Amino acid sequence: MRVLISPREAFKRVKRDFSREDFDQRSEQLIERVIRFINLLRRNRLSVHISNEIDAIHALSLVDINDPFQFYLALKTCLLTSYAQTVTFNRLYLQFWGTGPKLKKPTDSDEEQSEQDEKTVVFKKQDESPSEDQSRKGSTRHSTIYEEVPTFTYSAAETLRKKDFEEITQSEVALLEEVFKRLQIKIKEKKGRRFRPALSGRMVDLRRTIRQSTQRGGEIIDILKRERKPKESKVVVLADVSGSMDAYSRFLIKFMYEMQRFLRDTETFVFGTRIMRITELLHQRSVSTALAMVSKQVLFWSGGTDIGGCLKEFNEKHGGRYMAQNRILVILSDGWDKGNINELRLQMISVKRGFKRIIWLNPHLKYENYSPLCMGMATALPYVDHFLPCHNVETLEKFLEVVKQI
Amino acid sequence: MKNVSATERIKKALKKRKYICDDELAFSLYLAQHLEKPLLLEGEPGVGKTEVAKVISEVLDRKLIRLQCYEGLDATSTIYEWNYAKQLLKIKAIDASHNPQFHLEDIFTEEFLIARPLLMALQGHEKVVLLIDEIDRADEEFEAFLLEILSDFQVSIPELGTIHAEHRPIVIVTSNRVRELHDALKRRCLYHFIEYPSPEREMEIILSKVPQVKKGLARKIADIMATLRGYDFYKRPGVAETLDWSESISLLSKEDIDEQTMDMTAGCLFKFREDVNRYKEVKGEVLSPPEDDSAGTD
Repeated sequence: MRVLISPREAFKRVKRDFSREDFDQRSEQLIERVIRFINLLRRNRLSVHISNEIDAIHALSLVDINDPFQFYLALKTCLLTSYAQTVTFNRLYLQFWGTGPKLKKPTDSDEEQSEQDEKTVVFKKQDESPSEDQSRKGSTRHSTIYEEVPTFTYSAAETLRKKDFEEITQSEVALLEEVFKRLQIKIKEKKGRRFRPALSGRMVDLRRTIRQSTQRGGEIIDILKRERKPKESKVVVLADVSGSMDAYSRFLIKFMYEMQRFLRDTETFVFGTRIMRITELLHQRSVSTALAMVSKQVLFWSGGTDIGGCLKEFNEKHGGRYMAQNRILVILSDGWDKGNINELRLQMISVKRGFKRIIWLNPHLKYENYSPLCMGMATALPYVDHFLPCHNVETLEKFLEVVKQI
Repeated sequence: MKNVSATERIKKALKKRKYICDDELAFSLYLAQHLEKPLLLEGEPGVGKTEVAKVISEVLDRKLIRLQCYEGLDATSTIYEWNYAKQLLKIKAIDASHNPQFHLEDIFTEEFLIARPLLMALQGHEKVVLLIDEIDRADEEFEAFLLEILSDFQVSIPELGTIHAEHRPIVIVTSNRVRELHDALKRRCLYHFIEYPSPEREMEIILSKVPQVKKGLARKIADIMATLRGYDFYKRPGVAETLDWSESISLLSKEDIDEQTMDMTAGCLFKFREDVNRYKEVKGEVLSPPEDDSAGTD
């Protein structure tokens, strides 16, 4: 039965059930256990602030703690602060309170608890040595067994940042997408020389202030402010999706998808034997749809490469629209080129002239002794301002740093 | 002995105002009211986050003060501002009358203060419900303004002192998760995520909001909505869209939904051309399985 009672009522009820000291002792035990639970959450990277902790304990006095559903909801409402953490919270909750809050009828709540927690995912246990596991199960089940829970997600994300895209397994793709989402893709930091009106700030916009004061008989009422307009470098990405880039293109397109979401006016093209604008295709709500549409519509996926020809096509067809001095050209390619070398050189010269900077991202730069041996790369390199690797998340972060500096 | 459950009571009261909510939300509201803490509601667009605050203010018969957040929102338009024009007039008037009793502090009194929504919510003698809508649209700096108000229910005005709330307002903060909110703000709030309603509950919502619709049809609408939300749309239809749709179906005085009706009313559900196209692609699939679906869920 889910009955909610007023705090006074709850107190009376509990007082009726136990003698005074007994009650104090029991509530103390409960609080201690709640605190242990909160510590468990903290160890699992759920940030619980002390004020939330106090709230949670306060909330427990407002609910019927014999009802597992209310108990669960009270803790969840007070302690959880983000939807993304719900699954972790539920897992830890079930793990910790799996036997239900032990104040009164333990067996009763036991059953209900497991029913209530339908959303909880199956949790994996730490790889403990079997003997230790056995002894713990036997004796100290309620005290120490929960204390050493490893954190799966974050450390996994950490190693994933350094992992080569080539070695990413199918099971890690979802996690990688999360990592991409959390990348700090903001490059607007650098302030330019021009001004724009602002709501607040240190610089007074004298011209606008005076102008406004004339409307009010020369009385200066509001002091209007101005600020430096952030200089936005827009990015144009040309991504190689030919066969030699197969291991990377899938992830790099996901990365571009995220870039396009956060950087205004980012333009994305893919090339192989021909070039195609996919900016619109990436304007989808989900990455998977975007990726599916791209692979459906790009007919030259996993084909050969003709960088020179593609650049020529880009210059002729799109160059006029997207080439500008406030734009950075990013070319994602390993430089394996089957096209005409002279053509490539000519086109590199023309894009070098049209764009502010050229960044070349090459996954093969991960090899320490890499040297641009293939003709394509060797030809293009003199015209490139920044030559960077892009084989894992970490290097992509470095790339973003470079863009920020420009 | 009183045996009325508070969640049930809240649910019933909200239902009377045509807001159908589940146990979890009712419980969060109960806690928010008794712990006197703001409640942060997140969820997909159109699941009724804003509506909660409106209905609560009706139920408790309190005034609703609403603050719609937008980019560039700042303290002067949300908390308070000095009425400069009036202050200047006062100075001029005093200048003209050559009153020696005048002190500069006299123009920094409540008389010259323009209370904006947040201060208004704390100031009055009556109890209010404060709705801070779509906080994720405001800049991150704006969250900092809210901290003092949300944790201590007070506003510090340098020239005047601190204004405390006589009655703590019930505060509902909503967010569409466009960006993550700062931890400092989050920890001052209780948190609840509103999910899309189950088909049973959605049917109830349709029946209470659009009474012209018959029960069987409402059930079918709810089932179709549940199926539609499983597809990958740019913007998935929320409950608000369901209600629009139900209403237009009842306007067409249809007893059943066929493909033609779905075509005619596509605009109620989807607001993007790509989504409408996709919807037209899948409408056949969506229409056919409801029987199996309802069999599965019942």
